[in-house]
Amino acid sequence: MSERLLEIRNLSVSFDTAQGTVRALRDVSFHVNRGEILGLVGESGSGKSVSMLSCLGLLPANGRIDNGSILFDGQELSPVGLTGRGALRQHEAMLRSIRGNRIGMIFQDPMTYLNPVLTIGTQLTEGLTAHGTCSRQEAWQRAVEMLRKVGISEPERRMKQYPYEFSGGQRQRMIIASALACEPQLLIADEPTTALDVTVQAQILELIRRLARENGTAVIMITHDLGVVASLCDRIAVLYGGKVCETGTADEIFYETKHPYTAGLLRSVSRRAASGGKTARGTLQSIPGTPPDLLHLGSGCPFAARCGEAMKICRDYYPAETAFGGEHSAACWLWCREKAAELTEAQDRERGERHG
Amino acid sequence: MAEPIIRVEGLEKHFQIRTGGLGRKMLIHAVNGVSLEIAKGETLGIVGESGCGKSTLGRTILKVLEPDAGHIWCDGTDITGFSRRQMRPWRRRMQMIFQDPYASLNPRFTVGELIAEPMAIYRTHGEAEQRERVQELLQIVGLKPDHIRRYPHEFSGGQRQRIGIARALALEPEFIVCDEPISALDVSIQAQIVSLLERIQDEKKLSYLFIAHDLTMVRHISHRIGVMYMGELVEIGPADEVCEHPVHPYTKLLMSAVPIPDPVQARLQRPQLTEGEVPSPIDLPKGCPFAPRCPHATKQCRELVPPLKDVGDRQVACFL
Repeated sequence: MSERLLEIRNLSVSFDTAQGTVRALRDVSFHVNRGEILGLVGESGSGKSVSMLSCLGLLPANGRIDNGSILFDGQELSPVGLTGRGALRQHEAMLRSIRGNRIGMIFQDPMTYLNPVLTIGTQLTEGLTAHGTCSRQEAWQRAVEMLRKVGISEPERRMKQYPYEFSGGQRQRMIIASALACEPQLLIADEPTTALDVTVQAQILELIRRLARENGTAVIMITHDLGVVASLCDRIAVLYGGKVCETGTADEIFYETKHPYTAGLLRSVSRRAASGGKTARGTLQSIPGTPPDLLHLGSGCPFAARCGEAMKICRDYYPAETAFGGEHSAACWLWCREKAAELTEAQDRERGERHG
Repeated sequence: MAEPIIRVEGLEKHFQIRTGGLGRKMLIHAVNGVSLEIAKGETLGIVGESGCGKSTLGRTILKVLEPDAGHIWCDGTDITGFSRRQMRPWRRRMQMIFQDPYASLNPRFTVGELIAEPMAIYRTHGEAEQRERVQELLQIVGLKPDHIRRYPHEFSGGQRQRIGIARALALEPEFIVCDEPISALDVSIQAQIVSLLERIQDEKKLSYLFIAHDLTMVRHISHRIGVMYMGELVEIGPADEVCEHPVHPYTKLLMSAVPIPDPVQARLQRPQLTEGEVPSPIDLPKGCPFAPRCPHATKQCRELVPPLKDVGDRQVACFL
């Protein structure tokens, strides 16, 4: 049994829109080990959610996986290379047996995820019975047990209630209960606390942490909140413009930051809380400019236009990945200047020849 | 001390709602006896969880909502009882920036029209002057002059928020209520907007009431912070003091729940967890609103509402 539970390799995903092709993910690779909590960090449009949706085969109709492999516990989830209706149907059936069963999901907005006209009991038992893991009575028992685990009082009575009778934090607990009911190996949490208040957020994060540890579940936590990542995650992958720009353990990302984007992101959150309030007002440093337009991406580093340390080469070539020992790596030309110089020289020579 | 730009005393705002099919009338106490002052050139941050009445407070101070009790003074003048017409000259001095930059800009207006609208309404500038002023405002908020003929949908969230700020600045107000101006934006853009607001404040000597639930950003921009719970101000004082050494049990809970963007610190400081969530503001508990969730609640807390008392350099509403 390998350490790696989910391994994404060279994944590229694009969407066809009226304005053209949006390249949401380009050659993305990362992995999650068993029992580990991975944080996927990035701004809106950086590809965090898309990477997870493509794992589950839940991309919208205009999205497609162009390339790459997604290995879940040794099983290939990517449809790349499959042809013929039979093979695709088989693939879909395989995904369906995994979804909600071996991979659980928690979404951002608990209200849109719960059906308002069905009772909580019906919705919690649906997943269990659909995968044929247990009978109705067993499913009911199990759901009651799950509700108790996530801290909902009087679970028997509440099973018969409807979503509107619960508060936002309780609804998010329901969803966690339903996602964990099948005891998945992997839990994908897509901004599970963005819609919640901070005190409730702290409760929910603690709950995810506890349940993951107890059951040995691996968690992928999608978020843009660096505070959430710092307190919860073992490892972090930072995404920008559909590319992974830096990965490493939480400590490596926060204390040995290598990529200018990660550094900018850390500077733009007020760290006064951490530094004991010594920094003066006005030291907040923002990253200038706006996130890249995924419709018109060049061949270079997507962050080059906003990067204070951008060189000529950054605009033309995407940087190679540099490893810093362990699992820490970053894709930036600053860390492979020799190769950058070589490429720039070759480029200049080519240009010179063309003009000469 | 100079006259504060805004002074509020015992402000209350109730909403009447009907529940159930038979329509039993109920009163929601959104703002329940709030008193505060905002000095010229000062930023007062207001934090609290959703439904605590922070937005209602902002709107009531601007008299967008009519207060049910209490008084509001703007620059020494009691504006509480003013009619709409009487309010007109005051409105120019008090503006607002909204949370959702997508919903607060009319999609059928160009950027130039949007920014010029307040000036047209108040007939403060001639047409040529207006155009000049719009250009000036665009420059202040960091947009390009040729953006003037474009429509809101062509802009990103951060840029739209800049348009909203330009609009609020058009009449050279002295006081701006910022109602969660950064909640809808990406992290790197949030920092840009906060820096912009700080720069404008330094240049124009503005006062802000900065409403947000993101505590780290509020702490960064505010001189003083007020913490609200269930329509009441439970603690107010210098920003760093309130964040570093919270006194009220609710402030303590709130501060410990803020995720710290620093792994070592975060490991050291596990949030203090309490049971339960914010209760419904319909049936307000008797006594201190926080008593049902408070670990130190006594019999006295459940029966009497603690008044806001001076504790060192701040005010706290707690019997402890």
